[in-house]
Amino acid sequence: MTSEDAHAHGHAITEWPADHFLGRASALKLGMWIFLLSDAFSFGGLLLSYGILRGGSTVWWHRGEPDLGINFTAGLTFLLICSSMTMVLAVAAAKEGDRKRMMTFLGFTILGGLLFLLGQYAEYWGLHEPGLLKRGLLFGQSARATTFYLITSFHGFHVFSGVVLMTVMLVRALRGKVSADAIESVGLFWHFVDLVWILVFTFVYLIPAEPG
Amino acid sequence: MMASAHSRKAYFQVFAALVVLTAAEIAVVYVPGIRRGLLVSALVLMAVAKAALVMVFFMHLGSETRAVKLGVILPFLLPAIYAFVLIGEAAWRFLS
Repeated sequence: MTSEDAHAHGHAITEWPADHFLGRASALKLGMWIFLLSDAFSFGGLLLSYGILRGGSTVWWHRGEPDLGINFTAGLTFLLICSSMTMVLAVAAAKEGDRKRMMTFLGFTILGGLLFLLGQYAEYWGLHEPGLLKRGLLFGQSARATTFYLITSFHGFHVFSGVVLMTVMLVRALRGKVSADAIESVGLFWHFVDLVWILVFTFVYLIPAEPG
Repeated sequence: MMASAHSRKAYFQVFAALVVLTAAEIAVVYVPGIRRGLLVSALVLMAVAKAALVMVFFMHLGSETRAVKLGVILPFLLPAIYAFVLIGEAAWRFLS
């Protein structure tokens, strides 16, 4: 949003002087980075426990448990990368004060997030084919099953939170009450969700296991 | 700060790199008879490269000040060190 645009909507943009250490990074953005670091430690803890449990197990994939399937989740990965791309274009448009374009790209990003959640629903519960729960991957049954559900659902909750945050931003933009700074911070969160999925995809899905 | 056509081009290049790396990750899993150590190292390296691309270009960490860069990257290294120590310890127990 340009400053003229902002003034027209009764909002003053505070132009902070460049800080010696932090440059022009706003308090909102720095706050988001601090939150993301703490969130990274949560995911780090989950992935570390996953690695230790998997590395220390004699049989990781128990007989009767289903394959996780790389191809479907590769599609989900592609979806998240695309939504990161539309998010970065939304942030660029917001910085240029192009509200309509920002809202269009934000809308596409929300759509990407919703499709991801739908994909995860299909993976767990199944849509046209039975999901992992019906095919015998049950929470609490094995370390493989429990860590799978814990890590992917914690990530899914982040996708859901991102969709909610972006929807709030879209509604505020419709009413002309959103700053480029806020869009950039939500963008940081969304890219982080993508970044974590990149790691989850590698550790949980791609590194192959043999059925015991 | 204005996002120029130049930075949009960079975004598309990063996007293309992420798609190509994802395709390479899937391809390497299907390489017949690949050694497990090689496969896992390749997968982890490609994932770290993708994560770094997202952080530096999409999250604009590359254009922040040095203090902000270090403030983010140094804490990110802590779990990596922790993982290295724990995995090293597990490997040592396994081998001895």
